[in-house]
Amino acid sequence: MSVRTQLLKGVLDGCVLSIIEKESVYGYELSKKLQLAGLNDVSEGTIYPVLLRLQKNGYIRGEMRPSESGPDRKYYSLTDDGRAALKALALEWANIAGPVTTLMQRRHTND
Amino acid sequence: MISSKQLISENNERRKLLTKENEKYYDDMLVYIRLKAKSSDQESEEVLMELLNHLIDGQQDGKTAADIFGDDPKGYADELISELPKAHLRTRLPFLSYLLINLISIFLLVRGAALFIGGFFKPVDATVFIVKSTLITVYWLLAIAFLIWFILHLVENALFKKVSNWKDVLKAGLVGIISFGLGTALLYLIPNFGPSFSFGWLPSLVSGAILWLISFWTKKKFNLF
Repeated sequence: MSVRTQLLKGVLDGCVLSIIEKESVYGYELSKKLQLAGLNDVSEGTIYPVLLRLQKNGYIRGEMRPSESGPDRKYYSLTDDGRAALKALALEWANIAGPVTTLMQRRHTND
Repeated sequence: MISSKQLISENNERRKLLTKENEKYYDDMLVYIRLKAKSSDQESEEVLMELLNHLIDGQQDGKTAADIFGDDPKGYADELISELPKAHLRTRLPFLSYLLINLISIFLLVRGAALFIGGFFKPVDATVFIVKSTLITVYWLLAIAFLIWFILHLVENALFKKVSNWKDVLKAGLVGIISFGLGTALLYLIPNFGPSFSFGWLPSLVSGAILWLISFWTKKKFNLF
């Protein structure tokens, strides 16, 4: 597993939640949106264990419904619990990302 | 909500859209998850449908199953299974009781028919020794449960492999013969002793028929399959 994959694993839940917060999506759309956001080496399949876990925790709700064209899709939307969890996660992330970025940048200027 | 039955038939239809290579990859995952997931059918069928739709969409963009789900299908399926919620034993109870009642009813029907037909040729002994019969019934239930578990275990191990294994077929056959032989041997090995009663062909047939109707009703009532 690459360093990047390992780093991502911890924050993927938050990334998925933040996409679902904007609009309800189904799996393939979600993976497309993650790639569009620049996370293009998240293997597409990894979102499904994440989606199952988020459903089990009650953060998202999945609903199978027919799409306008083609097969039935399972659309995911955020629950109130999910909204609260995402808020907490975003706060935690800001607390980590700021200091880590500063540390990494300081490393460069000192060299 | 779309029922698990509908999802299964839709899955069967849509799988035809897969390329040969992707179908092999997906089929192994499908059988493995259906066998191993302890979740409700609804939950496992929904995720199986999502994976299939994703694979079909990806296929149109020129991706293979390995591109999407990784090079380790078994590991990926295990990851999914570990995230699926586990169903309570209570939800499986109707199916397990259906199986038990159906098995016993068939045994009683066959026994009744055999006693009836056998009676034309020679005098038959319809005596049932309670202790002996209980032991043998318990043996058969355990043996059948073990056989099912053993064969499912072999199937799980055979999935995701390139070559089919004739040794597995031999193993399954051997275990089947041994458990059947042991069951037959028990008939002679356990002596007739203790309390007994006569249970002729007619009561055997009638009780078998009643139990069969009950199992049929259970199946309809709980919409088992």
